[in-house]
Amino acid sequence: MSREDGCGKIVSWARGILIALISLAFLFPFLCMLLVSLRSRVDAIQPERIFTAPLTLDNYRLAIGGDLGSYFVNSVAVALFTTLASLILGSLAAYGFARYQWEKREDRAFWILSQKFLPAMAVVIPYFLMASLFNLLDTRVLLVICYTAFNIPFTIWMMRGFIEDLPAELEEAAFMDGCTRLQTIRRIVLPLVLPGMTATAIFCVINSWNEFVFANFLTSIHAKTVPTSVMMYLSISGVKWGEMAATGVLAVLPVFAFAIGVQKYMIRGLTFGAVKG
Amino acid sequence: MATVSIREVVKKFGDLTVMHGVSIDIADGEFVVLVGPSGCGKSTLLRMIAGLEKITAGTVSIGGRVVNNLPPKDRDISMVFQNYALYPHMTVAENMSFSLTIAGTPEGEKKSRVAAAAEILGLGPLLDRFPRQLSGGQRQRVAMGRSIVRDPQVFLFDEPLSNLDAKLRVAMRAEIKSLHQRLNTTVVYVTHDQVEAMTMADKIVVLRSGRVEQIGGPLELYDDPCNRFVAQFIGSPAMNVLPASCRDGKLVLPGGAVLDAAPPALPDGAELLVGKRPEHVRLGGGGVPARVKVVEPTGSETCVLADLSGRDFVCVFRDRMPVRAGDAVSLSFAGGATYFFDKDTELRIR
Ligand SMILES: Nc1ncnc2c1ncn2[C@@H]1O[C@H](COP(=O)(O)OP(=O)(O)OP(=O)(O)O)[C@@H](O)[C@H]1O
Ligand SMILES: [Mg+2]
Repeated sequence: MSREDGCGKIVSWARGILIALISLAFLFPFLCMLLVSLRSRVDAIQPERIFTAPLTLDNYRLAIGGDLGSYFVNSVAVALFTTLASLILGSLAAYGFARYQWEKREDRAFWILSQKFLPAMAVVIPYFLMASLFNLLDTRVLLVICYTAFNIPFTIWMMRGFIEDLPAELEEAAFMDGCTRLQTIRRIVLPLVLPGMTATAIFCVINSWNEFVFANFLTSIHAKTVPTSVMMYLSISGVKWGEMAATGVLAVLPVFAFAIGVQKYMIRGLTFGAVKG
Repeated sequence: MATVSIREVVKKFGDLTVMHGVSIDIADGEFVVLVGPSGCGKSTLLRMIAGLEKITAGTVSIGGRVVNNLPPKDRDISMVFQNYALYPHMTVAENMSFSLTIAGTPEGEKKSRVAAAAEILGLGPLLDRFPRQLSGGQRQRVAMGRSIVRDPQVFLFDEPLSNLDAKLRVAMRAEIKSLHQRLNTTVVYVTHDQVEAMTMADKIVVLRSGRVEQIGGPLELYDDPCNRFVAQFIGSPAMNVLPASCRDGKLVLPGGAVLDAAPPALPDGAELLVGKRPEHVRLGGGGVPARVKVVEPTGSETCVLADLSGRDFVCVFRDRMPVRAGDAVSLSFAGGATYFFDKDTELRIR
């Protein structure tokens, strides 16, 4: 074995250990949650027994036994429609920002972004009043509207970048080939920004899935989402850590599955070869 | 096939006017080349014909129909972009047939037209590849293929060869030219390379800063330029231009040396510019004394840079010349054409 080989081995080992340490740091909270979710109620609050106490699935049984099922349905529906609405509206707006010249364009782009500066807490009371005016309280539609409003600024900014990265000549070539603007968007722009759109969609789904403030204040019975279920576990007799952790683990799984499912669309460098020699 | 007629076209970008009333008539089947230095507005003019850029004033007509307000898709013209602009997510065949797909052409006809175009351009084995798997020259040919499957009224080319190496450029030049002879479609071709313009054009339009300087056949522009700009832009190496004055029926350079060429009919003492193409100068024979600075033999000809009364002067000789740097020679203006330009307006004095 040559010296270089030895060096290479050490480097690759060191890199492996480093990656493992970093992963551990990031996964640690999740591991704790997993451990807590698998212990009985008494064991869960005794840190010294957390690694040794007997395993049990009681927490999962209790969590699923409650209303969690309908919360999941609400969360999935709200996340789905929020993501669709944000992507469609946001991408079309982003196309406008990227490809049309108009007065004060950059000012307006910044104004849209500035909507993100507002904390949800600041607007939830007005939203509550407006929703009650329109008779929308405790509906999924209301959550979709609120989440879409909060997601769109971000979608516009992400998608604008991806669209501006496409050479304008590609669209002009499509015009010359007989396409209308909409045909160009559908056949040329859309396939080429799909990786960016996928990344944006993941953010939208996660934003919507994790949202707590709106969901907690604007829903009561019918439209409750998974994050609001933590409130159920704050009882008079104390915090039910085990069930809360079990719910947490269950809540992570769909997002995880979604991210893995769409990963293959996130390939980079799709436009390579379009222009230049 | 169609005529293209550009009438008094003006283009403004905001407050900036980049096109000042350009008029050009292009006959059916003609190969017209727009040349000019960088930034003179060649691409802008081409894009206005294509419909990709709004026309501020004036009209553009194709086949006798004013198209100012027609979107590109309704003009029935095709364009090859400088950077090719191939659709990266489509194969070569899909790229070439995209316009037919949009037009709703039946599969069978699409296939045969793509096959025919691929045959002309030698793209047969590449039809299933993606643009990223092609070389620069192959991409260039796909871009052309995308145009010819459509059989449009007019072909537009915007510096299609500028990304290719010198050898490929010469080959593609001939290919485009023979393609034009075969299809006989009207072509508007933009380049800033005057050699490309000379070799390919039926008609050359020389542009400068958004104005037409001169329109004519390649040899017409070479033999009979209307001003100093065209004279120096067309021809390679560029025409030599020296300041001189008329004295006693002779042309005298600022240093006092006398040129052996007849002056134009101007009053005694008038100042003017004298132009001489490098290939029209002879050595010896009672010419102006000069000193050789650099000799560049290219094999077929000899290029000599000389110092003539303190100014650089380029000559090209068809023969091998027994001169070396530092030699004193005499340059004769007697053979070939000598051109005269007004000192201020730089217009030709005939
Ligand atoms: N979108 C635009 N906004 C403002 N000015 C522009 C725009 N497009 C072009 N111009 C200006 O118009 C002039 C002509 O540009 P154009 O691209 O037509 O030049 P060109 O002759 O094609 O040059 P090149 O040989 O470098 O391609 C230039 O001065 C350029 O700066
Ligand atoms: Mg240009």
